[in-house]
Amino acid sequence: MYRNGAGVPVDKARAARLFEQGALEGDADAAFTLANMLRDGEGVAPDAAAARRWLQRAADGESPEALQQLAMEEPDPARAAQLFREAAHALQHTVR
Amino acid sequence: MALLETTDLHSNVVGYDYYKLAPDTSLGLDRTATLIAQARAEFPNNLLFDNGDTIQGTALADWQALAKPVRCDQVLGIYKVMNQLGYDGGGIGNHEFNYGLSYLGQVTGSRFDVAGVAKRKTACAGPTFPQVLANIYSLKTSRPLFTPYRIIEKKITAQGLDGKPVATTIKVGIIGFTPPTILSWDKRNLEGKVYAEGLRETAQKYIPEMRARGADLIVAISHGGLDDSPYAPSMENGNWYLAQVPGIDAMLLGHSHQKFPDAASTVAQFNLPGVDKVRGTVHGVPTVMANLWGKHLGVIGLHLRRDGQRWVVEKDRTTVEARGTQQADKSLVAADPAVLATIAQEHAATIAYVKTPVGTTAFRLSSYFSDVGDSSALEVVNQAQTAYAARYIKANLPKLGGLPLLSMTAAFKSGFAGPADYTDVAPGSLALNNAADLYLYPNALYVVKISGAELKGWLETSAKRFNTIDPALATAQELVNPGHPSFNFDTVTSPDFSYRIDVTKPVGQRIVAMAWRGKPVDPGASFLVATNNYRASGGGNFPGIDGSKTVLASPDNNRDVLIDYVRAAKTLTRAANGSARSWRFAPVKTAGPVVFHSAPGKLALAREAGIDNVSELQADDGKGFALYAVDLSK
Repeated sequence: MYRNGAGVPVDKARAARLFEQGALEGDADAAFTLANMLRDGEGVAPDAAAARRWLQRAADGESPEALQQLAMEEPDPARAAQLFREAAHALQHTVR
Repeated sequence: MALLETTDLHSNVVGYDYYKLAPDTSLGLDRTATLIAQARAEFPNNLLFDNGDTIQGTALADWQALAKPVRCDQVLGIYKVMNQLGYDGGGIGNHEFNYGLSYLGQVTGSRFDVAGVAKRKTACAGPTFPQVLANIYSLKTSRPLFTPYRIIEKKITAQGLDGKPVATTIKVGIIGFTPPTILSWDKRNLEGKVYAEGLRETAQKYIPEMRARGADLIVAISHGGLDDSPYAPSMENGNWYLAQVPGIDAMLLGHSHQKFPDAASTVAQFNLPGVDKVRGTVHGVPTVMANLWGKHLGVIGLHLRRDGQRWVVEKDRTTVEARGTQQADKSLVAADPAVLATIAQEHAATIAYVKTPVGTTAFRLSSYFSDVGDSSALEVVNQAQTAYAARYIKANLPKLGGLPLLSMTAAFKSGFAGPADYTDVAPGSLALNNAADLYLYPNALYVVKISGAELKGWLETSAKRFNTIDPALATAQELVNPGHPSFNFDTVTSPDFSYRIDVTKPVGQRIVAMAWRGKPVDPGASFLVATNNYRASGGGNFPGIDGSKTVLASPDNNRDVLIDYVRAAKTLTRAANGSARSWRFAPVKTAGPVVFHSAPGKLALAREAGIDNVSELQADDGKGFALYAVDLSK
């Protein structure tokens, strides 16, 4: 809502805090979004290491998109293939 | 006595990748079988259990369920192997429900009494071991769908007080659980047919009953992990609470695709209070989770003592391990050849199925020139996505039916891993394994509803694929920005939509002349865009596209959508499926060459695709790619 200004003025910093709160509560989708915001410095100072940590947390929480992101960035083809299969599997029990 | 666990085998009977058509030694029940044999030699008193997510997950499973459904008198391939391995019991995972209740009832040899499924007069062939599931009930009868628990009388050899071996029997009660969340995950198969109850209530109901019926030991086979958030009957991973129900002697877990115990685990669920990730206990209950795909075997070693009337577990002497098929020196245990021998026919038939043509293509679908506008490998994907979305919206979301519908896709293979790393599908027949080349990623089709301004933002972000070109520079300039991967260069390939990319402008100001059916796009107008779950849910961090715009999160994979499209089209042609270009570079005369790299010797393909402003400057750029130039004035 605050990130895109849906019905409220855009407030990226507030959005980042809300996503962090959701991520800390274990919401994998929130962790994935927070990772993106940290990577691009949106509403927060850019922090590649923190972005990576949240991306890993999102993947541990079975976010298919986080698993896919890790797979696409993985240089070891065998490890990437495993992550893609994990992403495919996670996608089958995503409820949105 | 050892309790041995496999979990989340996902139909990986032999270690084989059916899309690459090559062995995959990192997984497969054929290697786990060797671990089972080793554990049995070590623990002559043993019981072998499977935790579920067994019958779905590979092309073998799809072949047996969908392409050539297994007959009533045939045992499903993986169950055939499990029967042979002498499993003592099994649980039911969430993925067992993926092919519907009729199929599940058939292959498990059950006679379900549920709405919408014809009750069988006699059971079909199935596992020769009991399958237990206590928390899923038929809405029609209010009775459990499967046997909720079973008490197995297992002959064991104990040591008598005199030190001599004594043959005796132990009664091991097994009770099964699956995530109650199956009701939403498999809604189309389960709604109106079954209901779920929570793990804790279910255990509290049945465990005293199992004890009363003489169970010496109670083993929970629960398809799920651990979660300490406040208890709810609907929770997916209720086993942190299940462990606290009195009377459970051991828990076999699964579903999370993790191994437990694991002293090094950083996974949140294994670092909760009451969880000992070193010794493998949850609130003191010995617990194991054997990873996935047969990579590990769970081994709980129980030391039992006869205490007058009953067996008592000597907790201090219990051991818990998840043993890997990969050994300490990184080598793999050998595969048990008997496994492949048992399903040789099904395995061969699956390979033939994956190679079966679904259609043909009259032209070569390649991504060598995607960065300069060739849509050869992209248009058919966008066409398939558009056709699926249009059909779905017409049937299920009629209110959105009047909005313009576009589709976006990207070249997933664009030389990242070397000059051979491009999509390149030869003319001729297209089989299932080619579809994996054309749509590499495991995505589901999603549709977002966005404004004209957001559509421009999307294309602007895609256009970060290009460096900013200075027309006055006389020296060569690289066109492509390698920091923006090709999978984030989404494009439209529709005759209804056109735009120009002006690479002389900075990021964010490059998309010009954007038009829908010849008319400039109004920033306030609404558009539907078919894409994938990765993009729709925020992958690549495209502005405003972060899950909040999704109007359709389909259960269907983009790859399957593509396969269906090819099947219906029968033959793909250049004119119909590989030539529409929505975008071109905004024309500009540059003083020096604008260059990019692609696989060598492919210029003729660019010409065939109608890309006439490209030339090859060097056959080898030193890294195995050729150096090409694009003339932006044309």
